Amino acid sequence: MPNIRTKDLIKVYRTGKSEVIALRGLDMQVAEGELVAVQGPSGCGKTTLLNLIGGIDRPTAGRIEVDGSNLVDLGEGDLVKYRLAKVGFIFQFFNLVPTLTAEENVELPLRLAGKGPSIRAKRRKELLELVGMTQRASHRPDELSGGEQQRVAIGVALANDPPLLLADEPTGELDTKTGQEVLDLFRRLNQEFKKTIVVVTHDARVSHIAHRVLEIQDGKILGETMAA
Amino acid sequence: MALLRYAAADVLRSRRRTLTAVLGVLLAVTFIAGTFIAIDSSTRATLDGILANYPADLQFQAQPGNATQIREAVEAIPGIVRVATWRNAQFSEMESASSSGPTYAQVVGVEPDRPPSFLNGITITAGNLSLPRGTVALSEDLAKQVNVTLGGTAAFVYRSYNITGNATVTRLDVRVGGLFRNPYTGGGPFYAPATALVQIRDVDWYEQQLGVVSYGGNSIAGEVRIDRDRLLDPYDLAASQRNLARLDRQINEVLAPYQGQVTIDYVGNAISNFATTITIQRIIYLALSTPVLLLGVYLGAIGVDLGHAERRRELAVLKTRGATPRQLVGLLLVEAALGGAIAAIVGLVAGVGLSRLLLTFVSPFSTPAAPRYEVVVLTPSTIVIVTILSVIFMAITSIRSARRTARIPIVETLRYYAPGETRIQYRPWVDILLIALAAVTYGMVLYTRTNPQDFFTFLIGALFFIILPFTPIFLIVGTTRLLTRSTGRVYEWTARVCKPFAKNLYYVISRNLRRNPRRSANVAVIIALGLAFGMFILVTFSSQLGYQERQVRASIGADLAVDAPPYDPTFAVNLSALPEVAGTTRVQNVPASPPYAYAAVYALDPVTFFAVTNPELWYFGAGGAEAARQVLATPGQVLVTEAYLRNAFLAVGDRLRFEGSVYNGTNYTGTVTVNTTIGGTVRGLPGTGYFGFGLPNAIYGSPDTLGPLITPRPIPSYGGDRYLAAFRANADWHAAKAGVVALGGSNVQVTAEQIEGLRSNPVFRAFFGFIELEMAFMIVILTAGLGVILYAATLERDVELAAIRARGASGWQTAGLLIGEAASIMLIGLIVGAGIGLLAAYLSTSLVSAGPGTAGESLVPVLFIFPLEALLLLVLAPVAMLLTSFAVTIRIARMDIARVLKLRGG
Repeated sequence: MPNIRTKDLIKVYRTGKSEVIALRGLDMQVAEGELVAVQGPSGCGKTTLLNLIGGIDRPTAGRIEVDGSNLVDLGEGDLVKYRLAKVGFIFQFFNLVPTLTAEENVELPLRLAGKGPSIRAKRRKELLELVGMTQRASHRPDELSGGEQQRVAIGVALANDPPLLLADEPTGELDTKTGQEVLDLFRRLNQEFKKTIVVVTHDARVSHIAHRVLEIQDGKILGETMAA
Repeated sequence: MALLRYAAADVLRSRRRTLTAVLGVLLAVTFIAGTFIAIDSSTRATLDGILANYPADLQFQAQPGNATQIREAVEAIPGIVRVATWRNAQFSEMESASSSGPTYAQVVGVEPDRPPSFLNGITITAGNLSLPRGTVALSEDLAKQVNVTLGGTAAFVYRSYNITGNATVTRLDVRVGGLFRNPYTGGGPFYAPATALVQIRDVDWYEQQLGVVSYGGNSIAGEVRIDRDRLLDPYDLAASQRNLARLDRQINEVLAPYQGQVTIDYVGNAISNFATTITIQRIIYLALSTPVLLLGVYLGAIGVDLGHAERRRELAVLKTRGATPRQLVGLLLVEAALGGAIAAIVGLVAGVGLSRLLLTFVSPFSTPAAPRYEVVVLTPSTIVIVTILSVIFMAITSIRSARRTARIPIVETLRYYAPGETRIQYRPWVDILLIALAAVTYGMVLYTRTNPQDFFTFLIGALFFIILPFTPIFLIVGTTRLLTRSTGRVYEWTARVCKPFAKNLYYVISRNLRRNPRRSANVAVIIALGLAFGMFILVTFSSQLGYQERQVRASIGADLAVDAPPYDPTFAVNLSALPEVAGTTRVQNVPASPPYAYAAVYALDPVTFFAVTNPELWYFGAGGAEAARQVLATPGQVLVTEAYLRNAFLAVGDRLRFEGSVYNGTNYTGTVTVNTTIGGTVRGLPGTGYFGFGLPNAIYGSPDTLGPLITPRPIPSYGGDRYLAAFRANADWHAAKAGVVALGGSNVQVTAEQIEGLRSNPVFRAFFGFIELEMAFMIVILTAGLGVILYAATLERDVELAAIRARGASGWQTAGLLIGEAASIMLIGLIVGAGIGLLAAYLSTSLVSAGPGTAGESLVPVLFIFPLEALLLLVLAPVAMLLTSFAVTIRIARMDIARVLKLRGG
């Protein structure tokens, strides 16, 4: 089970002659099975933090330990395996493959992991039931509503049963009702399936389901609030 | 104006998108520009090539007089380099004490130190051409006929007739001072090889000695070579025509005292037609460039479509701000026109470089010396034509996409996933119509061949022969589009090829292909069209060349054919004794008219003819060569061609009666009748006539059967007996030909020489070289096109691909998806293109010999030849495209996932 720890995490973006310091020595910790919300103003480094923990970007300096392993020390191939098996990413704009149906999108990480057809079929069915998309499984993203697309995206993130879920503004494109449904799903995943979840969000409702809320400003943790 | 600024800003600032949109058209106009610049830069070489076909630049005539004086007077005119004169004598017989009688001789007076052009190829084999009065130089043929050698005495003979018809024969002895070999080509002033040369100034004296009564007409002829570099400028035809007109006048003034004038102005005629020649040259090469143009336009359409798709949100925003669909279409067309102008500028610059490669292939004329090319000639007409074509092509490529883009509903284009982009809007009726037209045309051509006299074919048959040359294009375009766009399933099938490489991700490839069929189809169509055109042109060209080579072999009949000299009974033995010759056979023209219908009659030796000619199967019907040989070997039987049998309404077994004239010396003594039976039929036999379109009408018998008809001619002449010779293995044909010519044979034809001549024919060399270069350029278009499309596709799918990587795919796995898609599309393009191209080539080669009416068949078949160049195209094109797709997808493998995803949120 993951135990996320970052120490003196720094990320600098260089574009041409200009430099943007997204994270300025950020220290944080997420315990196994926690649901942590990360909030802060735009440009404070929330998404950057998520990308670094998710292994899709590398820090300029510092450490990221997930379950005792420093991600900084992992090679590209190991990072791929990490993303495949340990992390499930949920994006604000869903980022589904537009030419695949809902069930095919959910199946994609299973194929990447080399799972056989019977395992894939079983897991696919489970996931679609879990996210409530069984009736709409054969529809493509352009035929689904925003909420449905996000539920499919959650199913994709859960495909290889990763212990860690990272969600970047998961309700940003959804209406209130649909957003609440997604948050309820997150709560269920955390409480029932013991997933460790880190959610970057502006949505105040996340604090109602999170164990902790971290405030980030200017690339550093400003403060922390325990959930009510 | 506001739209113009907006359009210009978009074109100039979105360089990558502009390049994607104009690349296809840019490549097409680069090829046109390169071709036109090459034509313009080789204009001087073209003019030299045209003028090389003429014996001289000008010819004149003058009344008999002092030829040397006339020549010197003309040569003194500025701008004239050389003048030569000659004069035909008005007596034309020679004999000697040891000849059997007078023989025909063409007596020509020349200045030996200034021989006219028709003596350019002669070889002095004995003595010299100093030709003092009373001395003559003879061609070897004439010397043999007159039976004299160097130093011997021959006589000119002149017959004059009085009012009662009594002839007075006058003879004048002359000494043979030289012998020469005349390369008889069958044309020019020499209509027979029997030629005698004397000094031009002595012609009057000879005629006086012989008492020739002049009826006029033996004027002095002259030919003039001008200083072409001084007087002719192919880039300023008006000045050239002015110079030539003034020169003509000067020559006429000089010749006036001799009652002479310019009779033929070869160079003036060439110059006055030269502008038309260059225009026709441009049109022909523009037509030959059609495959490149079509491919470029098609690629351009895809590139434009990609660009419009990328901007659909931006354009939808314009619509929300109040732009009408018409304004949007106008905007996109203005951008297209600006892109066309940019493509024209870049194309002209790039065309300069390409023109260097095309120089040797744009002039279908050969020059005796190295061709003279200008460095670069860029004419205003080339700039205008290229610019206009570029803008028109860009408009063509953009109009449909512009209208479609302008019609997309605003709300749909603001959605994240737009369903309109994922379905083919394809109406197949146009392609079905094209295929139907092609099928009907081929069907009608076949029907016309088998029913040439049919009323229906008479009415409209010719129409289909007019359409026939375009039919391969209809077939290729229609079938390719139908197979690649009518169903997305075909891409799913070909995606299976990627399964061993893509493994578990292959289904993503097949789904992407199947559910994004429009783009897949567009790419597949380009690849298929390029390969189809390439295969069709290369295969058809090679098959046609093979056909012409077979025609050469059929016409000549063996490795070598030669007309025997009329007075040499040892010729056959000497010919067989040549070290290069393995066997000979004689083909005798029998001077007898067959009954019922026209046919040429030949006597062939049944044993040697087949051994030497080794005829192919297509000459024969069911019985084959052996059955035909048996008929020939049977006394009293003849072979007839199927065409003669049909035209004369005869059947095998019918009797044929021949009648011929009999001579005793020169005296006609009566007729002889030979009765034969038709023993069998053939389609034709090699070495017995020229085989162009149509089947020969001929009858063949053995010398035993037709012997009585083959009596000695009263006046032996050339063309009576022809010998065919087979060479030994690895024999040098040059040595063989020289040996045969040394024996006195004329009209020597060597199969290997003529086939080499076919391949080195300047027209063939130019066109085939141009087409090979065009094929190479098409590979460039296909490669560049695929690269651009893939690159644009990766840009459009950046986020999708980054998300796949974020979910656990490695960089190369993700890149492999794109390569797999590209490979699947390429496979379809390869199969469809190669298949359709070969089919179109096969139909064209099997039907091309069909002509209107009864000329529908050729004795020599057009066989289907698959050349090495076609195989190279099939291999190189896909390899180049795969390498390009690999290069393009490297950026996916090295993608900065976070940066790409960051663009979308966070």
